[in-house]
Amino acid sequence: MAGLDIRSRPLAVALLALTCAAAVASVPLSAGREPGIDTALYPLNAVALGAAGLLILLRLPRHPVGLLLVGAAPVGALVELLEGYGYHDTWPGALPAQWLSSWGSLVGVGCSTIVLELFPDGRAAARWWRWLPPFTVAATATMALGAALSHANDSSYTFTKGGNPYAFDGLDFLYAIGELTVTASVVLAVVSLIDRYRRAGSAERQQLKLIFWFACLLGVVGPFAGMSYNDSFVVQVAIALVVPLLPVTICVAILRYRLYDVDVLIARTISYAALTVLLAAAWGGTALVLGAVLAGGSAWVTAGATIAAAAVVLPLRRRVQDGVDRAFRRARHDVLARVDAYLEDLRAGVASADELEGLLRDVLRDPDLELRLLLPGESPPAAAAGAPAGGAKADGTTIDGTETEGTETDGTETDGAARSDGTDRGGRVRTMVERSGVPLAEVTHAVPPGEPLADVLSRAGLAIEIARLQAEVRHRLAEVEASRARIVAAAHEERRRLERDLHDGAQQRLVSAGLALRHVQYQLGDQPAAHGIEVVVAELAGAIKDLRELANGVRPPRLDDGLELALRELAGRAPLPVRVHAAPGPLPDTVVAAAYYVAAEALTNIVKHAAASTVELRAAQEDGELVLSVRDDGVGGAEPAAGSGLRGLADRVGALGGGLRLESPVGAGTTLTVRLPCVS
Amino acid sequence: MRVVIAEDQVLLREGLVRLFEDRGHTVVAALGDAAGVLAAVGEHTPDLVVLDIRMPPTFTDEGARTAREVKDAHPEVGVLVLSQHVEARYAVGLVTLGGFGYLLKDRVLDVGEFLAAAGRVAGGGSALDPHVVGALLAAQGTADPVAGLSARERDVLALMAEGLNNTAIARRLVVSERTVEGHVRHLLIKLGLAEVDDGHRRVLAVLAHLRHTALPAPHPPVP
Repeated sequence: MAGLDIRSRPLAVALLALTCAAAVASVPLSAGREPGIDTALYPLNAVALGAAGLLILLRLPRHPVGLLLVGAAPVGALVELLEGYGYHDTWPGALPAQWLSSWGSLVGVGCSTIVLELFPDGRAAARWWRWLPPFTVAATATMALGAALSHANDSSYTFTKGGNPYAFDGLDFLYAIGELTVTASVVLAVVSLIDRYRRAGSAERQQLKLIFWFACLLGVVGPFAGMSYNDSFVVQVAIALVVPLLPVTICVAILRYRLYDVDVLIARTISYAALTVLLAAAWGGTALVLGAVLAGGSAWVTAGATIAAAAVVLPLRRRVQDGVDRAFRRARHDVLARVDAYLEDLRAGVASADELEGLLRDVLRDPDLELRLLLPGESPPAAAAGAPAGGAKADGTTIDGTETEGTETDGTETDGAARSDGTDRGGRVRTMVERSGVPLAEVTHAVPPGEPLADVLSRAGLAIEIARLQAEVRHRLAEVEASRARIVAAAHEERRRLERDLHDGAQQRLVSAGLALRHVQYQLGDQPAAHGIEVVVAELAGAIKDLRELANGVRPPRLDDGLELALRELAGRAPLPVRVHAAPGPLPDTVVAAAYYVAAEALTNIVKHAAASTVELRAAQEDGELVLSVRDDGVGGAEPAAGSGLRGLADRVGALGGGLRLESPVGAGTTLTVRLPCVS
Repeated sequence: MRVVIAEDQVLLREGLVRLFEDRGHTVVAALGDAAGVLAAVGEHTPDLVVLDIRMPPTFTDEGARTAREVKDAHPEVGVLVLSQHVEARYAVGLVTLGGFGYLLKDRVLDVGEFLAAAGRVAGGGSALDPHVVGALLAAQGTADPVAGLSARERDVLALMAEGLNNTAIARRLVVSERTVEGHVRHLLIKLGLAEVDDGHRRVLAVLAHLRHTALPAPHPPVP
């Protein structure tokens, strides 16, 4: 039937309709006269073939595989119909119907083989495979001819009149040759598929993998069918479900529907099959042992076995999945192993959360991938697009016309979730990473949102959360540091204003009042009241002096003269010799004040505790920092935590982004060093 | 004395005017800011200009800058700068000029001392507030040569810098004039200065020495 050419959609639809009609009609004719599963399975398979073929043709007109399926479907259905008719041997023409169905079913075998040879692009796997489809046609024709015109097929098909009524003697060899060549065709078709896979690009490989998946499925169900097809209803249903899956699989592969999820599909199928076997073994084994121990207590045996099976299901699943991944999805396994290793390092504090983006770029092979961590209160631009309420599900998005439906991610290890929200200008996709409904990060990437991205993001969910937390902490810390610096600056400014107010306000008014009194005193001349005024003016002078001291304490006005003069002045007032080496150059106001207070506090401490004979005060700018050091030759042994004065200075220095270091070995003097960044 | 006064606070300005006028001096101009000072000096040729160091518009060093301008244009006019507190950096460039004084404002309450200082400045002498001298000396720190002075010699040096003569110093320290003379001789030797009798030149010598050995040029203020 390979030559059947369907050039119009109505014809394809008509053929499918014919297939359906014949398939439906075959059911009542066959019912009760063959195993019920045969009655259902073969017509269903024919309909599946036709539907799959039509779907392919709708998207890809004149795709050879589509044409082949659409053409093979009515043949299969008609063969079923004729077989059913043939069961009624009293009806007219029952014998020709039996004869036609006895060899007609071979057409389906031929078509399926050719489909495998042409899958998925409708061409032979390679130049030297081009002879295979014609060879298969010839082989099938030979076998069909042999079956139609000899007694060779009598053993596998039951004629009511004892054998093929149209057989010629001596043509058995045709059937033998046909059987041999058709078998060879099937084997060669499989070889050509493997050869095709070897030379295929990534997309075609994914398509081919679907067929291998079907083979896996068949590999799981097939052995059961071989053991107990006629006895077990379950196995019959399984076969009935699996066989029509071949055309469905072919259709899915050719149309590239969720192409990149095939790896997951295959791995899942294998791991669940293996899991089923292992669980059955666990159940059966436990039941056997318990049955032997607790003779007769069948309910207890069942319960015990079930508990045993349930107990092993989770660890077993993880192991099996891991093993299957290792064997069949090496790349995925390696990628996830790297993510896991990184997470381990991150927890151990060996790796930094900053490396996460690089890791994602690396494992996803997307050098332009961007990871944007979303801090709390920072609403992602795409968040309004309606996030699914939790769950590990990636929504689909369409990139460049390629269907890239999201994949169900492995949500058991973490409850991370990734959603792809749309594309930006470069055809790049934004995927939102969520955890318990909280948006954590937005990943912009060029790789398709299905496998392996969703898997990797899901596995990296915890790492992303840690990175986000670290970023949040850093952000908060920067905020706190900035606000601390602002507070210090504000306090500094406040002191400055207060000092100004004291000097220019209260102090000036007291001087004015004093002057006014002096004037009154002058006018009074030598009257006794003038002496009273003398006392008041003296009192005022004292008040002014006190005010000056107060203002001086609030903020020494000598700081306006620069750090060097202020330090020299400080040194000059100290009760012990202080050598000053200071040429710090211009400095921000807050730095001058902090350095001055540090020096003053240090000198106070030295006088109080150090029993020093000399002090050396140094101030200089180094690499944009003011370095101030106060060194004495006293007893040493100073405790940084001891003086609350020093503690307060450390806070002040810290607020300016600087650091304070105290070296005080017992008996060898004390050196206090302060570094203050000078860039304001 | 013919006096020009520049002080932005009205009450204080009026107080100063009355202070001078009560004692028979003439206030030829009383200004609220530094802008008109130079013109007033040119117009009235006063003996003395009294300036507040902080005045409008910026309230930083208008007075100090105006003092420099007046001294540049009219070296013979005495300039007395008043300040609420010591701002050493403004004093540094001016103390070596003749006819200059720098006093804290509350000194005006001691009328006799204040007018004496004003008279010294108007006559081409010096009048530095003890606080200013102290700041200059302290800023000089313990570096040589002042480190070698005894406490008493330092006191004497400070009073010399204020512009006092030996008699006034002796009165202030409640010692005999001969004792003061001894201290002066010793400290001048220690500082490596030739002994001079003239009070003003003596102050200049001391201050110039201090300035050159100890005081750096002030840095421009950093915002």
